[in-house]
Amino acid sequence: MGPTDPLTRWIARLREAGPPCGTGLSPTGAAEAWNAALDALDPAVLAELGERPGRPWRRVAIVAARGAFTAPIEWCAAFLAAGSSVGLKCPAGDETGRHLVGLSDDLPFEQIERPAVREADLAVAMGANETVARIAADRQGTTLCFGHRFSAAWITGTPLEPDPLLPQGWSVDPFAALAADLALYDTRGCLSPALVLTPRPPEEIARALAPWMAAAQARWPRGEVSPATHADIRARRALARATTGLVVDGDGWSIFGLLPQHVLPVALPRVAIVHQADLSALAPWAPHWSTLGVDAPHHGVPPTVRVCRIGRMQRPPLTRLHDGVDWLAATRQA
Amino acid sequence: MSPWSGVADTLSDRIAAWIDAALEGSAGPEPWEALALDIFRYQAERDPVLASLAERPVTTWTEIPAMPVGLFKDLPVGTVAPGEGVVSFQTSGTTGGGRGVHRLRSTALIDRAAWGWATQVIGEIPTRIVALLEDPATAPDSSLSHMIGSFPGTKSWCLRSGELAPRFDLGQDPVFLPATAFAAAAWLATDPGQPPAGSVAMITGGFKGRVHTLDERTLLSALLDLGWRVVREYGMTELSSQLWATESGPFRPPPWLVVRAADPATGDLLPPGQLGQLRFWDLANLDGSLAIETLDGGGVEADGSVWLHGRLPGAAVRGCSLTVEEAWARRTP
Repeated sequence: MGPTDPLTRWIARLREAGPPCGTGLSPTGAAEAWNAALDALDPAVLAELGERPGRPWRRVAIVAARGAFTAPIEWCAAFLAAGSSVGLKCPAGDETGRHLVGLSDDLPFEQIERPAVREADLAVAMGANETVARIAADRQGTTLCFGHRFSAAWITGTPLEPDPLLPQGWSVDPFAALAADLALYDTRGCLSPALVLTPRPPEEIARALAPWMAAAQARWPRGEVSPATHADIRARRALARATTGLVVDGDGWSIFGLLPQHVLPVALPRVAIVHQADLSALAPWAPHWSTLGVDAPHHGVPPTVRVCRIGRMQRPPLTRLHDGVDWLAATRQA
Repeated sequence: MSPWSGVADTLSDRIAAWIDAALEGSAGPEPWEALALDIFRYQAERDPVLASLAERPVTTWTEIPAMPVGLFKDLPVGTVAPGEGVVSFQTSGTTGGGRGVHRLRSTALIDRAAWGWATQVIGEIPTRIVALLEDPATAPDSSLSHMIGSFPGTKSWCLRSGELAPRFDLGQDPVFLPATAFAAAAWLATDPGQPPAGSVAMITGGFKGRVHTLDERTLLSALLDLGWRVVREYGMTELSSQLWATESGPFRPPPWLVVRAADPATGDLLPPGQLGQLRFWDLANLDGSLAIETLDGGGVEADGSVWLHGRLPGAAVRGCSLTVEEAWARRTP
């Protein structure tokens, strides 16, 4: 891939244009998420996709989930790099499809609706489990289904090596890196740390994390929070108050301590929910576990879970298992 | 003999007197706020969960902390410890795998008020009851079945393990048909004929916590088209009193139950007419929690009547991560 390559030009235009409207994030938050998604598009990996054995899928349909505005970028880029024609279906009223396709005038890339999803040779469906199952049932061809997932962090307080992927000053202190992971996408996506597990007393974690949560809010202010989500936050705060008493509230962020028996892997925007518990606490949700961000050795993680250093949870490389699937291999037919 | 003792016994007498006066159309025998504060103090001394939610000394009723309904799933809420209660009503679990529990020493206050307030709002209703609900004898944890069971009249129960009885006859005389929205929708799908003249259908709940909500208007229209007079009820397992409405009007809470909309972000109470997160202060909730914070949205008029708007909006912007409902539902043992 070179600068004249259509895919390279598309990525450059995306970077220049910035994120679409209506992301729900603050302008700086949306820009950070947008650039993180584009930074992950490794030209060498994309170039290699076109040279892999096998044939590209002729027509691929990508069905994006509402509220996950950067998720389709890497999927579209990978299938386009592999030589497929790509159709993108976004939820009604979502600007992402128009934005991505509108900047790709010389690529085999278009917005599509449900009939075209049905007719595509391969479909990639993202969203609620019921939604992706319905899409798969409505088709004859292969469908890769990616339902709702959650992620978690394992934090011990061990300092890290500098990480060039993170903003300067945010990568060495594990609490800074954790705050960055919590801030990116406002903790919205399935790669966000829905909860923090630690062997240490949650009060210690809260003390070390609070200044970084405030710094993250100053750098990338929190965006919109829906009434339903506010209600969820209020309920978790009440549970924390009634059990551990550990509630730290800042402007646009919170840290709650909860008991291990109250583990519930639900990400809330800019809320760090800390449990003094080991990773076995997540066993009841193992099939829905996407990513674990760590600052120290760990054990008890299912093999399908992507493990990365803290700070990189929402900055995944192209080469990885996605929810246990070798998704890059799926860009070519056998 | 009273199921309560000591302070609770005195409070139950004061609450009963308040309910009786209200049902007779009289002013309460004492200020509502004074009784509410005394109930709260009694509850806070015995319920550490409630006590923990009071961030400052409570001197007015608006400062009484409202218990989020979700906490009934996570913790033993109320003044009755597990195993102590005579009755344990449980939430349906439609909002996920966990079921909240409302423990009571007695249903006397519930039973005292339910029928009286219902008929004050919706008028006379037939005393021949065909309920699209579980029989309270086999579903003693259903507060809805219990309430209908407390109504006077003959009753038949047409829901068993969540399934409608295959055949039942509405007969010739006027009938009262209480049903959840989902049970009513399932029943309408069986293509029932016209009801006996003077019959009344009651639709309640059934929408909260469902990912795919029914169109309530369509459901009510279908019943009206068949010839039913339609009334609506709003109740919660965590409450002891109910709100009633005609087919299209706002819900009316009884005088001993105060409803307010709150800003979900700050918790601040909103002026009349503004939409927010609904909270209830129910004097009849002696054993549970006087104040309840729901997950429902709505507005409260200056006269206290309530417009319901279903679940609070906004779950869609959660992207690809698990929702609270999904997390509960997908938990494996």
